[in-house]
Amino acid sequence: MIEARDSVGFGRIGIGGLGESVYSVHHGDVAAVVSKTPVFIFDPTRENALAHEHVIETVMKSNTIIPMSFGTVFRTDDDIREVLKSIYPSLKDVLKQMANKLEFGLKVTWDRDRIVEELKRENEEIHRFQHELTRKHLQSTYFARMQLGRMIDKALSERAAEVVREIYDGLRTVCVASRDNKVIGDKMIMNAAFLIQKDKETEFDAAVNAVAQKFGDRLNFKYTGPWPPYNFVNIRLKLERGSAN
Amino acid sequence: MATPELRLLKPEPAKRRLRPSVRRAPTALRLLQAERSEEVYPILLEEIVGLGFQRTFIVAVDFESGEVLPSASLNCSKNYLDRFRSSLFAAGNPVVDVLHSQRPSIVRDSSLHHRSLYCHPILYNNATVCWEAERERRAECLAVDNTARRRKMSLESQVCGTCSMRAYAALVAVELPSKGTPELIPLSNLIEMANRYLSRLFKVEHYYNRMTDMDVTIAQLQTVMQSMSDPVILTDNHYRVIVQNRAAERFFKVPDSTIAEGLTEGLARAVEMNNLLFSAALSSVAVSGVEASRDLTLIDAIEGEEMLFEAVCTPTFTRDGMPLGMVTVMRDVTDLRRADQELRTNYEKLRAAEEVVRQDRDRLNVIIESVGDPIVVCDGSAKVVLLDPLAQNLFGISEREILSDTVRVKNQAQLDAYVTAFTFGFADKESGILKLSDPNTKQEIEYDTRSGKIYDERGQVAFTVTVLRDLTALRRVEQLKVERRMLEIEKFAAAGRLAATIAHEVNNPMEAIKNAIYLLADSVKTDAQPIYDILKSETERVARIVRQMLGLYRNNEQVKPVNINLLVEDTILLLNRQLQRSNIDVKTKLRELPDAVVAADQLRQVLSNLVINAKDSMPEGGTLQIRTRHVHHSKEYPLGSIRLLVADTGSGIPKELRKTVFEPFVTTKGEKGTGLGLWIVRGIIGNHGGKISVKSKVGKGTVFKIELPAVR
Repeated sequence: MIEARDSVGFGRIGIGGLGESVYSVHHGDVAAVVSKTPVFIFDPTRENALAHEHVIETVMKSNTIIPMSFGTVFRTDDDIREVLKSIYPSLKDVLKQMANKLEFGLKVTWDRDRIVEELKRENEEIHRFQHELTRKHLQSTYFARMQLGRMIDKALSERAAEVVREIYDGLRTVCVASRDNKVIGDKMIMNAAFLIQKDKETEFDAAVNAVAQKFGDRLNFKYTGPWPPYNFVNIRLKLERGSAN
Repeated sequence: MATPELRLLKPEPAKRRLRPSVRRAPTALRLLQAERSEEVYPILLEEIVGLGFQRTFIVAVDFESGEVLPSASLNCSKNYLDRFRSSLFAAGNPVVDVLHSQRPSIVRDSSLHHRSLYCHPILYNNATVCWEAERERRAECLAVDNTARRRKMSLESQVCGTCSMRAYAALVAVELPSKGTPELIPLSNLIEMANRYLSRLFKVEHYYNRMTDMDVTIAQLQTVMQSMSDPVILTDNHYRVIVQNRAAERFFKVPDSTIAEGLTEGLARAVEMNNLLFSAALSSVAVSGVEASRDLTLIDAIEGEEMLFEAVCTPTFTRDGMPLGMVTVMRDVTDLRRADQELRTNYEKLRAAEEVVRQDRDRLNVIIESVGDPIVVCDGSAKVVLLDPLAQNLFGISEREILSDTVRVKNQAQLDAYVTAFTFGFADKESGILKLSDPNTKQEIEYDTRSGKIYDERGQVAFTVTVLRDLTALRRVEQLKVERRMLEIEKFAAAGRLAATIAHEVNNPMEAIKNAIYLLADSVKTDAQPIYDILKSETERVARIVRQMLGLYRNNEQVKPVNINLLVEDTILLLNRQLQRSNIDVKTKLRELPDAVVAADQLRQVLSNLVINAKDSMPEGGTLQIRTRHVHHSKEYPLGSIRLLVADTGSGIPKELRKTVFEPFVTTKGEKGTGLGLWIVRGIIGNHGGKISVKSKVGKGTVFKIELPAVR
């Protein structure tokens, strides 16, 4: 979705590999960027996903966009116009919110084993318990080991929460919004998306670097972007549902 | 256990082959000297030959295979012996037949041999029952059965029913001389005597083998016991420890090394205590006489820690049922009990927490239901997780419900845009306006939204709560207010117009009346003077009312920028004498003001009306305060306003009049007042785009507050 009153073309870069041209369907000053395709749900293959991404990137260069999720298909242009019409005020609202904004991703991981070792050394409670456990006869340690495991788990999540709070605090002033997504796997402690004002990109870069430097090699930062603001636009979900056949 | 057959197949020791010529010890003595059963056959054969027989041999039954095989011989060739190899099941074999008959007999010459053979079967036998049978008081003993010939020569019959011992069976064959009649009784006696010795040795060997087997079993059991990590203790009837494994020694025995190094008192006391506790536990269990278990707290003598055991005690008995003692196996349940305890505690905590949560939930549900406004709860990714019934009606619950209704799609989109922006933004609270449509009536409803955030431990948004408030009613009230105000203005204008018309019409005759009264002044008689005065003053009063009415609509006055402070000062100056006469103290606090664009004369009228009202309310004197100040910015007057306060310490306005005090013909002065003053004041202020309000307390005083826009 983009804000445009006159029809725009983006070349023959449509999904499906047939070189369909990508054009705009309008309702007032709001438009959907589309290409013709048979009515079926696209498989999320690498090729298709790349084509979708490529279209978004191309459109993003010259427009503020509301990205649609992959594989959104409508039967006719009129159907699209109908949808645009029905949610026009909301689209305008979101487009206004997203104007001149970029999304960046930040995934933070740590060496879990190393942190556990650190905790065993530094956390007084854990240290004492571990010491007691190794000193004693092994006869009744099963229960104690379980307890230790629980203690370490708790301390780990507390430490992670602390670190994550600190990172967010360091970046809050240079971004417009942030979203805390679910972490993936054991090592990841933060999976965030940030919405940045376009002219603050360098400031945000600097802030990320400053935070990364502060934690040194204890944390591993994976910083990606700019992306279309997928994480900050929820409206697409409803359209996606609306498109299902 | 080695069988006698096997032993007999071993080659005979050469040194035992004694020559007949050599003088030997008596037979009984020789047999008595035999240590092992296999030594009996060679002695027997030698003694038989010693009796003057030429050849003799023994065939034994292998109970494993059922074969009958030569096992010992004297003066027999191998070929000769081979002829007597047979089987227990061979029918028609004369030797085997004798074996089965279990009676000695002479087998005449046959295909097997040329001379007659004296065949004497020997079986494990004895006249009296063995020890085991006797101890167990059983009559069933193989040895006695064989003596009484109650058993058959079959594989299964030659096993003792009491001690499960497999016996031996053999046949001693002695070749008889071809000539003469040999003496068979001494031969038979000799064989029977040898068999008695053999039976006895066989039994002894059986006991020996049993003992060896038991030793192995004991060693194995001990290994099992020692390798158990749980303490195992065997005690006698007096609870004295007979055997215990290493795990048990840890608790019940003072280690030897400690004795050598110097026994610590604590350790000894711990062991002593454990033994005491254990004996007490045993004695309580022993009463029942059956397997029982109970919990037992012992002290780890080395670590000094308390450990909890479950002791399972099983009484042991002799074969004849006499109690022998107790086997106790102790299981360390310290962890189990601790875990159990923790589980219980956690369960209780959980129950309590669940109860709290349930109550909270119920309370929340009641609150949500009784709020009467749509409530939307979303998670950290701005996804709706809870809608109350009113919100469900607005946004729909199921996808189908949403998609089938364009109004709901629109509402959802608006909600999404709003919630997404709020969730990922950094404001803790937010309020705004959402224009949604009622899915039933399709009418647009304006909602005032108020949202708040709930954070998780990471400081991130866990949930957002949005309460939507239908502004329809509020808007309607506002609309009604505006309409009423308009009506009042209309009323005011109409009344004003009417009043002005009447006043205008009345004014001219009034002037004529006034002139006439003036002209009459000199011709009034002295006694009529009071009546003339009433006529004059009441006429003036009517003229005053008419003038005020006219003044109300004299809208032709030009407006121009004026400093309100100057008008206040003018008014006070004008009325100063009256005020002083009424013993009224005037206090002014006039701050610097910007000019206001007003009609100065009208404002003067407003001020003098208010000041005179104040004066009238303080017949006994009092304080009049007038304050002005510039309010730079307010919601109503974005460009600022001038605030004017006129306060007195007079009698105040009764409560019932406070609301209508600005209505026409409402007065607190009774006959004296026209009831038009404040009505006119409000009209003038309203015409200037300002507003007037009053606060009053009976007996304390009244404050009039006027706000006029700074720039019109």
